[in-house]
Amino acid sequence: MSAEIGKVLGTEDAQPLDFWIAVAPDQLVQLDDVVFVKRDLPGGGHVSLYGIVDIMKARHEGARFNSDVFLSEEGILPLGRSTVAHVSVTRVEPEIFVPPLPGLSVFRAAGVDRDQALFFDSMRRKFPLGLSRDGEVVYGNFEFLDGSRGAHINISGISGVATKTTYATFLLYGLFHSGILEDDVTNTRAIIFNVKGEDLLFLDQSNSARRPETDRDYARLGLVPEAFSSVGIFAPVKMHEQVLLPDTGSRQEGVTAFCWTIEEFCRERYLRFLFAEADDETSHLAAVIASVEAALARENDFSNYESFDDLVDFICASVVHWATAATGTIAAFERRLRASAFRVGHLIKGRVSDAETHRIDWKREQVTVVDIHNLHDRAKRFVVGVVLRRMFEDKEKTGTARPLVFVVLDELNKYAPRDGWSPIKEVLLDISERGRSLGVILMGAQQTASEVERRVVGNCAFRVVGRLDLAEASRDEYRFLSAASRARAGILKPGSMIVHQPEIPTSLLVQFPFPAWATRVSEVLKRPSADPFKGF
Amino acid sequence: MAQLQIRLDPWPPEYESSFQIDEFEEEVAQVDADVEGVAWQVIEPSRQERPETLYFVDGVRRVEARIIVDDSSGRIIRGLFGSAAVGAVRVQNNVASFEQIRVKRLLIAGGGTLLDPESFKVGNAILSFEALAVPENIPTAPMAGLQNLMRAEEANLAEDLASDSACVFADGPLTYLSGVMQTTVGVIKRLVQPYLSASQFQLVRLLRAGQRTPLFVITKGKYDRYSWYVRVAEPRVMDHDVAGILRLEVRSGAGLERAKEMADLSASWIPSFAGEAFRDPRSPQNLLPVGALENELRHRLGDPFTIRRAIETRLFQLNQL
Repeated sequence: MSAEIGKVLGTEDAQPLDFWIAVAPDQLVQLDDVVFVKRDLPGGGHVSLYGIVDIMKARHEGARFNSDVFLSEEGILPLGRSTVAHVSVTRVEPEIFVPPLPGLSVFRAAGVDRDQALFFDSMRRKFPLGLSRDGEVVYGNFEFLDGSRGAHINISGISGVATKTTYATFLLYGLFHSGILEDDVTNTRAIIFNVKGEDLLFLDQSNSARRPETDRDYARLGLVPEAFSSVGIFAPVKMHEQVLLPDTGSRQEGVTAFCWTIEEFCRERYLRFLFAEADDETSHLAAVIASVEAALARENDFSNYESFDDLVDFICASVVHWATAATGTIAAFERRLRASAFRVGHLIKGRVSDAETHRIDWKREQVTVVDIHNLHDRAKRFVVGVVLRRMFEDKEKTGTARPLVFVVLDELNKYAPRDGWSPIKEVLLDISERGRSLGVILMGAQQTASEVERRVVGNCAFRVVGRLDLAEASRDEYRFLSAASRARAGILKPGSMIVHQPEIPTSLLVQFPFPAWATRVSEVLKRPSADPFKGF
Repeated sequence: MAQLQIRLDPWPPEYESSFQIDEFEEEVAQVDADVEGVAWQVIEPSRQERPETLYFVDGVRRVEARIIVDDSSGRIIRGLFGSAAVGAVRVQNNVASFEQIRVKRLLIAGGGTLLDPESFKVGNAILSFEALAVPENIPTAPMAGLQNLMRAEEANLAEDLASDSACVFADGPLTYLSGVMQTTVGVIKRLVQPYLSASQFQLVRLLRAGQRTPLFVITKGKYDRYSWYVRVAEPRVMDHDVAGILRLEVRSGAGLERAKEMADLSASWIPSFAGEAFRDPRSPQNLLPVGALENELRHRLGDPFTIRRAIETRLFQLNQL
C-alpha cells in the first residue's frame, strides 16, 4: 500500500520533470525511494507523476548563522528542522507535462504504483537486475538484452571493490533460472573469460559462506540459490609439460586443459591473433600476415612440425617467398612472431593424440569458463580472439539468433582499446554491432569505460557502474548518471551497482545477493564425503 | 444606524509607524530600596539549579492596512486592519521550542465605531479580522488598540503558562497581568525610568555579568512590584555602561521569598540566553530565545504584501457595490 511521505513544497520551483518535497518528520525517506504524486487537472482528469528521490537535504529553519546550531543544541535558540527530498520524474501518466502543485501529498510507491513508476508494468519480458534498497525487485527489460530492441551490457568499476564479474555472473544466473529464456534455456550458452584470480573456477560449487539472509534475497528475486549446474571449465595447458595438464592452482579436477593443434592454427588462420596488440596496425604488416595465413592454409602436411617453434622457423624461412614487402616490414613481422611464439607457443601443439578433448567446446555445457588469468597478455589476447571468432563464425553459420550466447569479458580496455586497431577489437566490434541480430550478447566490463572503444560501449543497452574512481565518474562516458548518482558511485559498497537501462530515464541503485556459488577455494562447500579411511 | 463605508488609506502602513506607542509611566512611583534586608551592594547569587522548564513570552504586531471609515457624519474615523501574534519559547533541559503561538487579526476603528468583522480567503487560509472599537479618534488610537490587545494576549499566555508552575519571563512590564499572585517575571529591556536615586543607581553601573542589585519595591497604581537589575553581559568597550542591563520585576503578591528566588535565578541563568551583537542588533538585552520568537511570530503573521493585496481586493469589492 502506498503511504504518504510528505508534500510538494513551494519554496523551490516545482517543474514537470523535477520537484522538491518536504518530508513529514515522522517519515523515513532515503535516496532511491520511488514516489508519486497525483495532480487534478482543470476541467477534470488527473495526471500522475512518478519519480525517484535522488537528492536529500536537511537544514535548520530560522537559523541565520552557522554557529546557531550550538545555541540550538544548548536549548537557547529555538530552531526548526526540515528535511527535503528532490524527485527526478521517471514517468508521467498520461503524458501531460504539468508541474505538481505545492501542497500536494506525495506517496511512497508500492506494488502497482512502483511498477508503473519504473515501467515494470510495460515490460513484457523482464529479468531480475537485483534488489532496491527497500528490498523490492528491480527488473530489466529483456527485450533490450536479447536483441529484439537492443543488446549488450557494459559494466564499469574499480577492480576488487566493484564486483563487476560477480554481478555479471549473477545476471547470468538470473537469466538462466528466472524462466525468462523459456524453452531456449537448455540451448542458451554463456562463455565467461576468467581474467583475474581463480574466482570463476568454482561456479559449479555451492558457497559455504552463504548466509540465511542470502536465501531470502534470492527468494525475493524469484530464484533458488544454487551453484550453476552445467559448467565446463577450460584452462590452458601447462608450459614445459609433456602431459597436457590444466595450468590452474586451486582446482584441478573437472578442468579441461585446452590447446590447439598446428594444423588447426594454420587451417583456421589464427596467425593474426598473435599480432593482436593494438599498435600492430601498419597495413604493411597486416598484408604480410594475410599472405602468410593464406600460404599456411594451403599447406597439406603438418607432420614435420613437432612444436610451434618448428612452425615459426618454417614461417620465418618462407615468408620472403610468400609475401612481398620491404625488408624492414619482414623483419618486424619476424620479431613480433617470435615474441608471441615465446608466450603463446605452448598453446599450439604439433601432435596431440586426442585433439578433440582439448578443444574449447562452448556448446557442451550451459556455462563455459575459459581461464586465462595465468597467461601472458599476448596469450590472453590470442585465446580471447580465437574463441570469440570461432563462436561468432559458428553463430553466423547457424543463421539464427536463438538460442542466445552470452559472452562475459572483463578488461575490455585490453581487447577493444579506444585507440588503435587489432583483430580482437574487430571481433568485439563485430559482436557489438552485429551480435544483436546474431544472438551474441556481450557482457563487457572494464575499470574505465573511457579507455574502451566508443562503439563497443555505445552499443550497450544496459550500462552498469560499480564503485568508480571519482575522476573517472566525471567523464562523458558516464553522462547517463545523474550528478547525485555520480557522487554515489564513488562510495558504492561491493554488492551495489547503479544500473541504467533504455526505458527508465534515471539510473537505479540495485543490490545483488551474495553469490550462491563459491568464488574462491575456501568457499567451496565440502560435501560430506564417504569415510576417508575406507581404503585402509 | 448610518451605512459605514470603509476605504483604504492608500499610504503603506510603514509611513506612519515610526512613532512609538508610549508605554512608559510618567508619574514618579514610590520606591523602597530596603526590602531584602541586605546592604545596598552587588549580589552575586550562588549558581542556582535551573528550573526544569523556562518560558519566554513575547508578541509582535503589524498594521496590514490603514483605513478611513465614513459614517456619513462628516467625521474622519481612522482605523486599521492589524495582526498580532503572541507565543512562547519553552526551554526544557536542552531543547528550546516554540509553543502556543496564537495569531489574532483585528479590524479596529476609532471614535467608538464598531465595524462588522471581515473575513476572506487568501490561498488555503481564511483570514478573519475581528472588529474592535477604540473610544478616541486620534490618529494613534487604532494602533494603541492593537498594541493593547497584543499586550493583553501576552499576559493571558503568561498566566496560562505560569499555572504550570514553570518559570515564565514575559516581555515588558507586568501592567496587563490580571492576577495579584502572579509569579510571571517581567523583563524590561529599555531603561527609561531608573526608579532609583542617582546614588543608588550607581550600583547598577558596577554590576558584572551574573550579578544583581538587591530587590526594591515599586509602589504605584493597583499593584506593587518587586524589582531588581541584572547584568546579562559585559558591555563592549564602546558601549555605555548600562548596555547589558535588564530590569526585572515580579508582582509583590508573589511574596518576598519567591521574588528573591526569582532574582537569584534570573541573575544565574538569564546571562546564558544573551546573544552576541552580530546575532541581534538589540543584543544583549534582547535575549536570543526572544529574538527568535519575534522572527517566528512575524513569520506566522503571513506575507504582508499578500495580505495587503487581499485587503485591497476586499475593499474594492465592498466599495464597488
